[in-house]
Amino acid sequence: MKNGRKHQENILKSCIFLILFLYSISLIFPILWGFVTSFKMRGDYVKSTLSLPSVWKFDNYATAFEYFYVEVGSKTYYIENLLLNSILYAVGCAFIITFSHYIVAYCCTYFSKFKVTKIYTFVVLIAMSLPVVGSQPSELQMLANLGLYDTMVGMYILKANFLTMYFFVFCALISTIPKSFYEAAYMDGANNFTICFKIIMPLTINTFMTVVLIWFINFWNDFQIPLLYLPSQPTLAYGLYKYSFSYKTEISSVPMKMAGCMILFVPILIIFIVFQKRLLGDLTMGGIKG
Amino acid sequence: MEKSSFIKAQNKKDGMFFALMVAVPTIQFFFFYVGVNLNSILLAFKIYNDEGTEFRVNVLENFRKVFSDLVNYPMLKNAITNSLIVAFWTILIGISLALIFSLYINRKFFGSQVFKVILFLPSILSAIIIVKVFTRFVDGAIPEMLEILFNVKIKGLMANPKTVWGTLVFFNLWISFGTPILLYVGAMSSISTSVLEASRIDGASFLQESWFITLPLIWPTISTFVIVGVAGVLTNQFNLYSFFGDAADYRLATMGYWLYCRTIEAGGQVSKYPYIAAVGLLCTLVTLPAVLLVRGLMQKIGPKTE
Repeated sequence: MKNGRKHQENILKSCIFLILFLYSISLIFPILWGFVTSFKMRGDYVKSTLSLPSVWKFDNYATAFEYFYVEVGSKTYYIENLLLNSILYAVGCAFIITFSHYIVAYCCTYFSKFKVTKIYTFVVLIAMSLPVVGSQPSELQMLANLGLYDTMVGMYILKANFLTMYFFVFCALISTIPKSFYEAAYMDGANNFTICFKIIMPLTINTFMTVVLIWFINFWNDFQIPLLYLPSQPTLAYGLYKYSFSYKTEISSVPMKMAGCMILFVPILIIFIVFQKRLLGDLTMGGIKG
Repeated sequence: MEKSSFIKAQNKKDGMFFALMVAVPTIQFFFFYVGVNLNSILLAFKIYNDEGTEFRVNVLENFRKVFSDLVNYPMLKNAITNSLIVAFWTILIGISLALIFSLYINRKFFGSQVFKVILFLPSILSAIIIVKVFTRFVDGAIPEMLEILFNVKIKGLMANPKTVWGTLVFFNLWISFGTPILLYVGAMSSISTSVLEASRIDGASFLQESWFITLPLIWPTISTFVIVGVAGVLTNQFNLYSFFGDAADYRLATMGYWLYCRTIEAGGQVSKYPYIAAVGLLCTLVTLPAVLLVRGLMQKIGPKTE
């Protein structure tokens, strides 16, 4: 009987393994295919999409770099400008949004004696589940009225919110710190600033930086929000969008399109490999009931 | 007496620190959540002149136009049904598969670490990269593979009007596992080991442990994903802009895509905003009861105690 059940369990595990294996192949193979294709000549690709390049055209990438630009009005933004905009946008927004979530979560967890903290938790729950549709025009109008439309500062202000699930991630994290830490610091004469920034924050810095990294990747890859809110400061992701839809002869072939994609792919892959353990560490959402 | 004035002084210091720390996010919330959403509701009842400098209030005019477009222009109607179809499959199958994968990875069965890394790949890549590689692969490599292996000639899956919609739904499912699995596995790993050990001592199989212990204990996390998924049905573009720019066939549009395209098209012209806001408001009014219903359902069918 026991052997029969173990046998069934092994079949189940094998089936899940097979599905995961096939799914993993389906993810890796197209990306590898895209990478190899990026070195092909146009003629090679037309002859066969699956063969290896007859000649490995490394200068496809030189051409891709040359044509990786965005024209806004009379100005042209080349890859170095796009890179700068991406860094300012992704790094700035990632830190600001993470810090906003962290500080509100810290205050709501540590100062739960104040009844107003329940309102903050309720507000986050509502914001996460309330389906607000079509508010982008209104948001653009608000930014324009405040003189913040099409400014990096405007984007930073937009990100100074606390309304995503990471509020609960930080609440869960901060609530695991024993009260004795706070009490000991308080006994030593530490004030709230010292407790928050010199004691608790260093203890939670790992998760903090993980969330920063997750947001960084999110903002680095997003082209649609900068396109709408920051049109005169295009980012790399928007540059790739323009590149991928370009009809210019030099970059119209599939190998050239793949080369453009790989320009953006390789740096993020490096970041992923370096920070893999941090990104794939355990994040939990605490404080949510059903 | 001394103690209570000391506590009062401490509470005052704590209150000042609290207020200072949450000031900026709270003010931001009032402007960019409360203010923006109230303004969005008000926009739906306004008609601006072409320059966007003056407006008059008309309760029904924008909504009349919306209902007339629903009848006369299939794109808007398609957008709603398409959103529902993609959301249905990605929530139902996406969450189910993500949970199965998470249960496997959480138990650290063979290959778990490698799978965890690979499954997260789509989450770190720009949608543009995945979309372009995917499109070229399904339009170029897959037809050639089928011809070589089975001598079957097919059109590219994205290029063929008969298969493009199914391919789009598949794509959204295909890239959906990264962050959810991370959070499910995170929730599963925080289950008390003594509970799991006790169940294993009692002879519970992987399936029994998953169904009777693990899944019920992570029900709040599962509920969150379902509720957020339902709430986002009509805002989620499902990657259409990355696939097609603003030129998607009207039969493929989703509501999120339609709204984004109209907002881009408006190009800062305030006179075009009220119509978009009216559509948005109607969508919110339709989605809100759905979210409350789903929330109630998740609470009802979920486990009763922690």
